[in-house]
Amino acid sequence: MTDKTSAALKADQMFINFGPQHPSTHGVLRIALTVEGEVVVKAAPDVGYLHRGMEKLFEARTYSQALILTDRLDYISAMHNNLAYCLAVERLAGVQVPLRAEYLRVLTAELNRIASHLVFFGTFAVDMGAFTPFLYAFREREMILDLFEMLCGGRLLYSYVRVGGVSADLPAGWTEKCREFIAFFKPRLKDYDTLLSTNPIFKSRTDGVGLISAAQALSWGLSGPNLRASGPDYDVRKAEPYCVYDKLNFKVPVARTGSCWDRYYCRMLEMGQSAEIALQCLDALAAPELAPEIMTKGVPKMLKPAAGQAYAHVEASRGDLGFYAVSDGSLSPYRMHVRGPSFLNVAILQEILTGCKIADVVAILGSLDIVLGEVDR
Amino acid sequence: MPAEEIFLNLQASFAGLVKSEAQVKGYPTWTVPAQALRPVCDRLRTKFSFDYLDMVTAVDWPASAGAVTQVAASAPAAAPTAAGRDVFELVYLISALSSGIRVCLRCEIPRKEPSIHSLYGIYMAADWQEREVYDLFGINFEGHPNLKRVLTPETQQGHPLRKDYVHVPDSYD
Repeated sequence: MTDKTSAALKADQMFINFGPQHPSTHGVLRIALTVEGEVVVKAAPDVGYLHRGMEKLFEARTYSQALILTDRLDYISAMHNNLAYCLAVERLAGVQVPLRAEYLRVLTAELNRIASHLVFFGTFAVDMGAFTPFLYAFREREMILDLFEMLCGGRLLYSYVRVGGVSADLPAGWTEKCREFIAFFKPRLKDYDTLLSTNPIFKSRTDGVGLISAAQALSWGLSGPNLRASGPDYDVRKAEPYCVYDKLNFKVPVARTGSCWDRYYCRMLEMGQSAEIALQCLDALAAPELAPEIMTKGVPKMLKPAAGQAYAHVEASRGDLGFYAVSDGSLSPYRMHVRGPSFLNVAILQEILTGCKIADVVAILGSLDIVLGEVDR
Repeated sequence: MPAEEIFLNLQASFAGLVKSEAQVKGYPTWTVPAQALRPVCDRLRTKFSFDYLDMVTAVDWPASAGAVTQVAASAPAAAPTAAGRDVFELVYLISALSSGIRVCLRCEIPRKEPSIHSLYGIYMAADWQEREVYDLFGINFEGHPNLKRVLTPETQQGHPLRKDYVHVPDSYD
């Protein structure tokens, strides 16, 4: 069908409820689609099915109790949520973090980024009709989850990063296991490329599909790989380095056209960079001047920051994740706002789905890699 | 151009634009009169290439809430928050990605019939973030084309993040 559908062939408009229970919505997202034949003429994403009133819950908890709520925001990449929350609270309360803990934070954050992008890689391939990559992705992800389990007991919800540091130092044998994993993982990236990235069917489903211009991406507040696939070179790790990112050597992959394939490939390249960062952290942690010490130095369990407000953000797996914290001088946050990247990444759907084919809806949605726990909060 | 120069440039055209007492740690924080918010953002975007709206949110500061009054009593003269002023504080974080400058704009609007101009059209990122603030705080955004609840169901009574919100039990409680 060409764009110039003749008047005689013009179909009636049809309304389709896409989701909220649908495997390719990756959670409970509903998109109200109006279609004309195969073409989407209007798309209205509808969210909130997973709304738990997180920001209200923060106000009824102490700062250390509230940490576990952050795990449940973007549950695919909980380490970044812990980190962003702790950075905001630390900035609010003026807490210093031991250098060793800073490296551990970066190390775990980057491993979690790999795990999160692997989930994207596997599920996006399934969305596009390729099942095999999923098995590879989850095999590798499992190794990272094992490492995290060894480190903090949790496989998905970690609460590992704490206000003032991290919950525990590396257990015996962890470093070797982690190095083993990275050595195993790095060559796998080439496998993924031959398996999926260059697959002609996959390319024709994603290359040139769901284009987002740089101006659109900026205006809609996209972040993370979704923004960088369109051209703007914005990564919080470089723009406002936190922890020890300014001491580490890594590149930020940027693409130009903003297609589904670009968004996909930005993530694939990021995984390689994350592995490099993890190695650098392991090297740094082995240095004698970073010998183990108490991981949360002198931070009271009942934290009582002086009245004021602070904002801190990190480059999470899905983009720019920020916490805006307000204290009134009491034991609980007076207000805690979460700037979830997925919330903004999903809002742009109403613009970019308009005019695309029905089959591309799944490709475009999948390429944005949203997590509804963070959208709905 | 550093944030300080931008501030002086804006202050020349917008009376009432001042540096906030309540600074957001780490970011230059300016208080903007509510009616000047949209023109200020428009200027920031077109003239100073502030191309990215990071965050929109609000904070409820009722005249008397248990915890707040306690602090207001102990707080120094220049309180670092808007405690006890009976206002909604709107917080906007806006960045110029090319130069890396990030500023925080604050507006205070009365809690009674709260309303402010929408940034829809200048930044599309305002679309859903303003809907969220509307949903959770009940603040009206003039000029927003689709201002309806986004996170809570349409049947939701009241605005949960207001400090005086009382939950009405429904069939799920």
